[in-house]
Amino acid sequence: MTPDMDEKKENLQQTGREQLTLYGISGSPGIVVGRVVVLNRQPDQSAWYQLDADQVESEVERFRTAITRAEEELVGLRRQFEDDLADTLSIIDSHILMVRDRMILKRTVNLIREKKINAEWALAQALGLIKKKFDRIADAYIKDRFADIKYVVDRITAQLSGHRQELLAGVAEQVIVVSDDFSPEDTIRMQSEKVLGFLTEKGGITSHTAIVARSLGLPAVVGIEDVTSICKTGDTVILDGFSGRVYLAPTRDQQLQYLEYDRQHRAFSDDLAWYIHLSSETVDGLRVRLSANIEMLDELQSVQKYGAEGIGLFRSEFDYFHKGHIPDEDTLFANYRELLAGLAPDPVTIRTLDVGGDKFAALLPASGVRLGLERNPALGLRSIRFSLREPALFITQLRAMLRASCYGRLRILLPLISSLSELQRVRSILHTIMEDLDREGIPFNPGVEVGIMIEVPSAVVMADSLAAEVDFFSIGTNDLIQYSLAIDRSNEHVAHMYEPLHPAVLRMISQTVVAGHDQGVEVSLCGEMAGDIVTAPVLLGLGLDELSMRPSAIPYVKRLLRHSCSRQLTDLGSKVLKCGDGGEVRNLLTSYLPRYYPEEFGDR
Amino acid sequence: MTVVRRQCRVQNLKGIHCRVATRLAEIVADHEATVQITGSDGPVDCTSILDILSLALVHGSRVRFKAQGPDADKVLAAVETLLSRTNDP
Repeated sequence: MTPDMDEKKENLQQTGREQLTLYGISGSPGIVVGRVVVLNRQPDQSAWYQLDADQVESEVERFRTAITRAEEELVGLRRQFEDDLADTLSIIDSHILMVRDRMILKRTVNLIREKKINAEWALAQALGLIKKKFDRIADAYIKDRFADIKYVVDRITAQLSGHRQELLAGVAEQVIVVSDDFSPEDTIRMQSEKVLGFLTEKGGITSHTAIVARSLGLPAVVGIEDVTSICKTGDTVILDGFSGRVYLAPTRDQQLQYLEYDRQHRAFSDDLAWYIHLSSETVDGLRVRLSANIEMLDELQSVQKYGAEGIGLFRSEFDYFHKGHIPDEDTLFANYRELLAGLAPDPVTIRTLDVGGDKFAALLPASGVRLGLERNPALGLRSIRFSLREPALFITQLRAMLRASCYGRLRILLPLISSLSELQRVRSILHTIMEDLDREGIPFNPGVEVGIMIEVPSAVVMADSLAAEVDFFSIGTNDLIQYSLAIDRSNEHVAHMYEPLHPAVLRMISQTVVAGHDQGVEVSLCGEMAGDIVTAPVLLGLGLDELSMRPSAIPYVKRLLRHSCSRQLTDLGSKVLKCGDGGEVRNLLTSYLPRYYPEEFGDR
Repeated sequence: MTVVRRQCRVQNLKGIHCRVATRLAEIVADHEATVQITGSDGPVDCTSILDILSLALVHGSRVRFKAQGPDADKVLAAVETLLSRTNDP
C-alpha cells in the first residue's frame, strides 16, 4: 500500500504523458474521470520464525485473537448495510463463516503447535494447502471462490501484523483506485471513502468484487492486463465502466466529453429526449431501424420509453429459468402475444432458446444431457443444437411463437446456425407444426418471417446460400468476435485482445450484408457494438438495415445517425475495410469521429 | 443414535458455490446433528464451508448425505430442499 506521489511524475503527466487506451472487462457500469492511486496490496511477506516450546500456546492465543478481531470487523461491516443489498450481505456472511472455518483455524493452530512456527507463517502454509485443493477444481465458478478465501486470510494476517488496513490514508481528493485485486469488503469501504471507481488486473464479470461494485453503483473495470504497472499514482484516467475501457492521460476535451457522457447516462437529458420522437434516418433520408435487445416482458416499458422501433432481439431464456420448471405452451404463448401486441406494427424478433444444454440438466432429467464438464462449452451442445436434440422442448416454443404470430409482426430468430442443413431441419419442423395448427383450427400467420443469427464464421462464408432460405439475417457480434478471433473475453489473460474493430470482424459483417442484400434479405446486428457510439458509425457505414441494442442506448445512436449523411458513412465503411488491424481502424476513427460528430466527440 | 442417509442431485445452476455452502453450514449448525457430505470426493463435515466448496459440486452432481443425531431427519429434509433449488438461497 504505497501511494507514491512523485512530483517528477506529476510534472511529466502535465506536460503530456503518453495517451493510451487500456481494455478490460466491464465490471460495473458508470463513467468517472479522476486521478489514480495505485495500491500495492501484496501483504508484507510474512516473516518466519521458530518458537520456543513455552511460546507456542501464547502464539496460538495471539492467532485466536486475530481471528476474533477479523470476525468482529466483518460483523461490523455487515451491520453498516441495509437489507436491500442482499448480494453483498450474503458474500460477507460467507466470509464470516470462513474466518472460523476448520480448514483455516484448526490447521493453522496444528501447524503452530507441531512445527513451533509463528502464526503468520502457519496461516500462510494453511492457505497454501487450501489453494492446492482448489487448483484441482475444474469448475471455474467454484474455483474462483478461492479469491474469497484469500481475502479472508489477508484480513487475519492484517490483524496479526497489527496495522489496520486503511485503504487510502492521507489521500485528500476523490480518486480512482488501482490494484491487482480488491476484496468485496475493500469495495464496500471504498464507497464510504473518497473513491470514484476502481481498476483491477484480476477478476471477471462474475467475481464477487464486481458483483458488489454493481450493487453499490461504483464504476469499475476489471481484468486489465498490467494496469498496476502501466498506471502511476497521480495519472489522470477516464474510467468507462460501460465499455470496459480506460483512457490514460486523456486530453482536457476528452475528459469533459466523458463527464458529459456520464451526465447523460445519469440524468437522461432533454436534448436526447428530443430525439426519441424523431425518425431514425440520416440527413439525406436513409433509414436505419434502431431496435431493442431485451429479455423480459417487464422491459417493454423501457422499449417504448426510449423510442425503439421494435425488438431486434428478445432473449427467450428467462421464462425457462426463473420458475424452476419448463414453461408450458400456453404460458409462453401468453407472454409472446403480449410482447407482439404491445409493439405492433413494429417487428418483434424472438430468438429461440440459446443456452448450453447443461443448464437444462435439472429441468430435463430424462434427456441424459449432463454437460457440466464439457471441455469446450462454447463449441459444445448449445443453442439450436440443443433445441434440435430436444424436439419436444423446441416444438413447444415454436408452437407458442406461431400462435402468437397473428397478434403483431413476429420474426423467429434461430441462433448459432452453422450449416444449411440445420436451417432446413428447423424449416421442416416449422412446416409440420403449421400443418398441425391448421388441423386443430388454431390461427397463425403462415408467412411468419424466419431468420438466423450470423455468429459462426461458417455462416458468414455461406451467407449467400443461407440467404436463399431466410427472411432476415441478424449478426451476433459478441459470439462472432469470440469465434473468429478465438478470444474468450471473460478470460483476463486474453480479454485485451478482444477487438470488435478487428478488420476481420468488420469484413465478415460487410460480407454478410452484401450476401443478404444481393437476395433482398434484411441484415440486422444485435451485439454490444450496435449500442456503442464509437462502433455504431462504422456499422452504419457497412450498410446494416437495423441495429439492435439495450434500450437506453438508442437515443445516443439515433442522434449520431441523424447527424450523418449516407455518403459520408459509406466512405467510412469502405475505408475501415481496407485497414490492416484494429489499431488502424481506431486511428481512423480518432480523426473521423470528432470531425463529423463534434457534439459527441469534441473538437481537437 | 439415529443415522439417516440421503442422496440427491445439485440443482443450483452454478453448483454449490459460496452462498449455497454458507447456507448449508448454517442449516447444519441450527440442528442437533452432525452431517457429512460426499461427492466424488469426501466425506467431509458440513460445518466447514471450505471443505464443502473444495468438493467442487457443480450443477447436476450427485451427492450423498449422512446425518447422525436427534435432528437427523429434520436436518436432511432442510438440506434436500436447499439443494433442490435451481437459484441461490
